[in-house]
Parts: sequence; structure tokens; C-alpha cells
Amino acid sequence: MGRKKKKQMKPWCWYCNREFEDEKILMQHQRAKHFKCHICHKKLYSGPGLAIHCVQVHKETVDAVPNSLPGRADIELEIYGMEGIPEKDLKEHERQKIADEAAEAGGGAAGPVPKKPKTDAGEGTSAQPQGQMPSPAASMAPGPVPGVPPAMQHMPGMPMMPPPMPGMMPGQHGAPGMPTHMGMPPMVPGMPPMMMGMPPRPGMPMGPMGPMGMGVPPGMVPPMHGHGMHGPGGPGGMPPSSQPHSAPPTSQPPSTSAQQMQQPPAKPLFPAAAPTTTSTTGPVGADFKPLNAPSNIGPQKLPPTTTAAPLSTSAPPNPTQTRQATVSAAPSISKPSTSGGSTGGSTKLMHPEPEDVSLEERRAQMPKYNRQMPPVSVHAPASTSAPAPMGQPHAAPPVSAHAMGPPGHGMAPPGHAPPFGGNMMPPGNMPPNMRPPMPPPMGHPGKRPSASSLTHVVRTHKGRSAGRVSHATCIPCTPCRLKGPPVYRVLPVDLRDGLYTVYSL
Amino acid sequence: MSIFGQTSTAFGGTSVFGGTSTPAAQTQGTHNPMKDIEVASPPDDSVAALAFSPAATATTFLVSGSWDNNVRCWQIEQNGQTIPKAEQKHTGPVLDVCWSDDGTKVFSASCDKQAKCWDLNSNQCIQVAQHDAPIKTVHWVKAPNYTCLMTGSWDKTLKFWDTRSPNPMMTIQLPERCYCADVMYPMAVVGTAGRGIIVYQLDNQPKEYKKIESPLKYQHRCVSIFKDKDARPTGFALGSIEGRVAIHYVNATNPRDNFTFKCHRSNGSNNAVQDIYAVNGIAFHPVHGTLATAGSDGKFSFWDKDARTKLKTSEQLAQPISACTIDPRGNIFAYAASYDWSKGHEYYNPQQQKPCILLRSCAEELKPRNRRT
Repeated sequence: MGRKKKKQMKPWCWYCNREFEDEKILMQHQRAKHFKCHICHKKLYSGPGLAIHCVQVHKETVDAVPNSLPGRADIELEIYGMEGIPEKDLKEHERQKIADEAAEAGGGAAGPVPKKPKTDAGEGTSAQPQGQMPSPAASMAPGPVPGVPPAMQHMPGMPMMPPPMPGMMPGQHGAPGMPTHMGMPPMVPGMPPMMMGMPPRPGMPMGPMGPMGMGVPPGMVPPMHGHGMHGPGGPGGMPPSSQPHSAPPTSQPPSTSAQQMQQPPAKPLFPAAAPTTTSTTGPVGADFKPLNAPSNIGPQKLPPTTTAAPLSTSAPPNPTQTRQATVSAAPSISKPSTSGGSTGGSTKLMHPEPEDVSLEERRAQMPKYNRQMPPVSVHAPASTSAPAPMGQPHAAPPVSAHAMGPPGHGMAPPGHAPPFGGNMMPPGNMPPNMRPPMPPPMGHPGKRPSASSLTHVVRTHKGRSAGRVSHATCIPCTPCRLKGPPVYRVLPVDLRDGLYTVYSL
Repeated sequence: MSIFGQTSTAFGGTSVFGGTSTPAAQTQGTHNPMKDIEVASPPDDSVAALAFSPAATATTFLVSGSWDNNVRCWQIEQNGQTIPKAEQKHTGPVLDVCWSDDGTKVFSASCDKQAKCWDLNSNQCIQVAQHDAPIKTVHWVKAPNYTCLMTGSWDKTLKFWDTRSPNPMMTIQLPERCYCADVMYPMAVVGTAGRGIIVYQLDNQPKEYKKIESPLKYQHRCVSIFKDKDARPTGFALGSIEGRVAIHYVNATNPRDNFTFKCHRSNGSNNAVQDIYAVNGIAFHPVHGTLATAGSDGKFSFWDKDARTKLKTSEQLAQPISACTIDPRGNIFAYAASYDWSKGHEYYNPQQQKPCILLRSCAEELKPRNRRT
């Protein structure tokens, strides 16, 4: 611990508070991570440079420096390496540094957090190594400032880590104005026990934050960051990391790493992730554009909602963005485009709502085209389960067999309704409006009244009246909970009120 | 082949296409701002799908599936002349069409929940597939040990049909309604509602290879498989309603190979609202590996996915481009200008705006530019 004191002020990145061995590397880092154009990947030389480039070349406005900490996203500031850093931030950093060291000296255990974990934490590792040489890819990682996540991830695993640990993370970012000592005092009491279990790690720079955060009770966290961090998330303090609070700790590491992976060492992880089907989020999107980053997160939220996907699809972007915005400015660049039509910002999606129903489905609903189509809608789910089992075994064969038997018969022009009556009439010959959507009805052909222009079939049970059936229950969407063989009825559709009237049998 | 050697000069050179050698090409105006060749006797309602005959046929044919329930077939002459040959009817709008590998049959998928096989030699049309909901996609699968027809439907199933049997050889449940699909043996890709993408491998018998988390955030609308250098299918381009296309390798060696790009958006000036249009179609050039996208904005664009550059954007047509395809030799880019419902029924104006199918010589325009070293 003592030896750490020898450390001199290392160059550090104003945007993400990271330290570097060398100012050259710092510059590389900044160019790759904070000054890179998300569209053409050109590395610019400063925040304003990036903004101007994007406006002139891509006609896009960048309002925040990518991958920056909250409050450090000012694109107007001309910072390069250590030059241009606002005086007060410089001082603040210095002070914090010293405070940290002091803290470390006092509570050595705290300090270790940053470095060691990096190498330890499995997933974190992938990202970390790049830490030294900031990789552009890593820079796209939506949330976490490099170095941060691993630390966090690791914490839980640490022996003595008390729950407050996570909460402190935010503290680490050290809001510029944050007085270091604030965190310190409380920590002292809390620290001792923890230290015991943790041998000081040599290589460990006293994480800028490590110590401070430590002592801070979760509750305190929020007040410390004035940046609108999600800190309130409480113990889960990780919020800034861009992952939903709800995300189980386990899920976070992979995703984070996956996204950061992208760069060179990607191979190991990606293959692993790829075969796992749905979990491939990271590699998929994040790689090319930061835009994708948010989407990676969005999808992860989806699984729980499963079928609700349609609606949630459009929804995620927003939460995601806001979340990220607080974390790092990266995503804000893409805001204009990602927000798309859903948020109605400066863009408009030329597609009718809701966006999860295709144009064709919509169009096919039109009376002009819709002769026998069931309404395609969100209710469709039931159809899969219902018709499938019955349709295939017995009913289907005769149907299509006939349809195919007389080649050419199926080509009866629409609207030209052949005489209605034959039980085994092949579907192809049936007047469009007559044809039940499912094969089974063939068994009860006699019951099918020749209805008017538009008909829908509702499945009920013998002897049961379907009553007034709402649009939603139209075949093949009706999940039938009753037992016994289903009976099909053809119902005329009253499109005006969206209800189907039961056709008496 | 000899014919097509000449054809390539016709379609490859600008002489024929630059002039107004065909009567159709004389029509001008925004419906055909680039004075491409207009196919004679276009469908009466929006064109949902276009497909060129495979390289196996001596003559090039183009078939279309349209919302007027028709499947139409034209013969495309090397001089750019188009000859309507025949048509078949469904009892519902035709959403997709494809050819058998030998070019003797055309398959069509319709809202009438059937897929039909049209034998061009006998001009007979028989039903070969049945779903519980409209069929959105139809593809011919030609494997060394079997052939079959793959149909994807809004009934959330993917079915494989031996066209001689009334029963599907196989039915695969999809998580959601099938919105788009492509097949290039041994790979099949299906895009569904709820932004699902599932990759199937077709060797021996079709089976799910992997589900992929969508790289896009909006509804999937079109998908097209592309090949690697060895002509093996290796990935796909996926288009969404949000004017964006994702290039996705199924097994990316480097995840950075996967990316998305924006397209078919209005140039929103600083204050104006930028309109984002759906990508209605994607077609890969069989030789160059470049691609064309067709947009609801009435434009098509050519792209080089490897160089990640745009090669060309078309003039804006009066109507959306609802479908596009490239012939198997890579000479002709066919695109259909017709309403795609992107603005709802209010903007459907069949009297004023007739669908049209246009042919453009594309071999040059889709050639990748020399890359800087």
C-alpha cells in the first residue's frame, strides 16, 4: 500500500476518468474512444472536431462525447490528452487522488478493487486488457466506463464485500464536484472489517473511487451524483452501468463483455455466445455502430416479456437511451436516428402504427383483398395451437388431396363461386368467402350456411351459442377451453361495429 | 448460353438501355424518372414479388405476384423487349413467387392460404401447399438428396412440401408470423414478427440452426442471403421498416463484420423532420456480391457491403418500390413501383397511380469500385 504513494499523477482522461501510463496512450485512448465518428469511424482530434466532422460530413449532430462520464460529455470542450482540462477538474482529480491514496493507506483493502478484479473477473477480463489500449470497439460498449464494470462485477465475489459495495460504484466516477472526503469518513468504520479479508494487491492502483465509494451507504449514493445517475437504484447501484437494475448480476458480465469484446480478442467469446442463439446480442449489434449498442440491451429486456415483443420492441429504445445517456454519452449521438418514429423526435417512421403488424397484413385486412382472411392481429397466437393439431392428422389430407387432384381446378377465378354443396369440395374451388380457414370444418360442411360477402368462422362447442363474439375471438384465434369436439360455424361479419353476430345453426 | 452472352451485352451495355428502343420506354415522368424499360402489361394492383427465371432457362422470364391475385409471366428479350406470356390466378393477393431450379415451374404464395405450382410447359396450376393463414413466403429448396417447397405463413409455421403430396414433409413452428425468408441451399433464413430471425440448415432435412437476436430494432421486412468468396451462403442482409439494413454473418469470425446501415430516409435538413421509410426489398448481385435495396420512399440504392459504401441511389419515383430482384446473370435489375400501404389505405390510389415494373441494366452500376489499398 505504501508503495502506491510513489505514484505520480498519471495522465488521465477527462472524459472517463481513466488513468494512463503515458499521455500518448491517453491520446490514443481519447481518439479511439471519445473522438471517433460513430458513422465512418474516423478518429478525430477533439470533441469539437468530432462535432464539426459529423455535421459537415454526415449531417448529423453529436451533442455529447461518446463514452464519457455523466457531466463530462461536453462536446464543446477542446480537450486533448491532458490539455484543456478545466482547472477545477484538474484540481479535483488531484485532490481525489490524494484522498484516495490516503484512504488506501488507511484502508488498504479498498484500493485493490480496480485493478485486480480486472484480471480476475472472467468476463471483465476481455474488456479490461483493452483497457490499456483503448479499443474502439470497447468504446462502444454502451454503458460502463472501462474498468468500472469489472470492478463491480468482481465485488460481489469479494470476500468481505458488503452490499453497499455496489452502491459505491457511482461514487467512483467521482462527480467532479464531489468532495472526496465525503465518502471517506463513513468508509473508515466500514472498511476495517473488509480489509481483513483482502490482502492488498500490489499492482493495484488505488482506484480513484474504490475507497470513497466503499464507505458510502447506499442511500447516500444518490445525493452524491448530481448527474441524474440512476444511483437510486440503491444497492444495485450499478445503474450507471447501463444494465437494467433488474438484470441479474450474472447477466451483466456477459453482455458487457460481449459488447466490449468486439474488438480483437473477440473470437473466444463470440463463438461461445453465438451458438447460444438468442444471447448473441452483444456481438450482433454493438460492433459497427454505437447505435446498435442500445439495441443490445433492449432485447435483453425482452425475453421476460416474450410474446409481448411487438410492443416492447418499440418501447425499449427509449428507456435504454435514457439509461445510457446518464451513464455515458455515447448513445446520445445516435439519438436522432434511433429514436426513429417511435419517439417522433426529428424523424418520422413512414409506417402505420402499430409497428409490429406488417403492411401486408394490414392491407390484406381490407375488404377489397380480404375474402376469407381471418383478421391478423395480436390475437393470432391461439391459432397456432388450435388448428395445427387438428388440421394435420385427418382433416388436412382429404382437403388438399382433392384440391390437387384435378389440376387446374383450383384456378377458378375468384368470385366465381362454384355450386356449393359437395362435402369434399377442394378448397381451391370453394368460393372464397365460404372457405373456412381451417380444414376441420370440412367435417361439418352441411352446417356452413352460405353467408354474405364477408364471413368469419368461430369455433364453439356443439350446443353452445357463441353469443356475440368479439373480433378478437374470430377464428383462428379462438382458444377453446371447453372440452369436446369443436363445431364450426360461419358467421357473417359486421365490420361496422367490429362484432360478429352468431349465425344460428 | 450463347443467347445470354449476347444478352449480357445488351443488358450490360448502355446502347440498348440508353435509348428508347421499346415503346414502353417512351413513357416518361416521375413514374419512371430514369427511363428504364417498362414491362408491358403490368399487373393491375401492387406488385408484391418479382422473380427472374433461373440461369437454367435459355430465355429469361420474369414473374410477378401481385395484389390483384395474379401471377404474371413475361419473356424478357435481350433487346429489352418484354412479352407478356401468361398469367394465373389465385383467390387472394399473391405475396410471393419463386422458380423451381430447372425453370419449368413457378410457385406462388397467396393470401388465400395456398401455394400453387404453375407448370409453365403445360400451363397448369395446382395447389401444392396449404396453411391456416395467408402464406407470405415461398421458396424452392434444391438439395442434392431432395427437393421441396418451403412456405412461411402468418399462421406461424414454416412448412416443407413435396409438391406431389398433400401433406407437408415437415412443419416447423415459428415463434411469430413469418414476414420474410430467403433460401440458398444449404441455408434458409426466416424473419418473423416480433423481430425474430431464425436460421435453418437444410442439409439432409431442414432443421433449426440458430436463432439470432435481431440487430435491428424495428419490424423485419425483407431478408436476403449472401455468399462468401466460395459461393457458400454465409450471412444475410435484413431490412426493416425503419430504413435500415443489417448485414449479418451467421458465424461471424469477427463480430465487427456485422453492421447496420441506414437507407431510404429523406434528407432531413436541420429543422425538417426526417422521414424514415421501410426497406421493401433486398437483392444481391449474383456475381459481384453487391446489393440493391428498394425503399418505400420510391428509390432504390446499390451498395457494396464489403467496402461499406453506397454505389448509387436512384431518382425518386412517384410511388414506393414494392419489390425488386436481380436476374441470375447479374445483368438486369427489375423493380416494381407500386403502392406498398406504408401510408395506409388513404393513400391508395389505383386510378391515379398504376403499378409498373421497370428493368434496368445493372451489371456496371453494381460493380464494386476499386478499393483503395
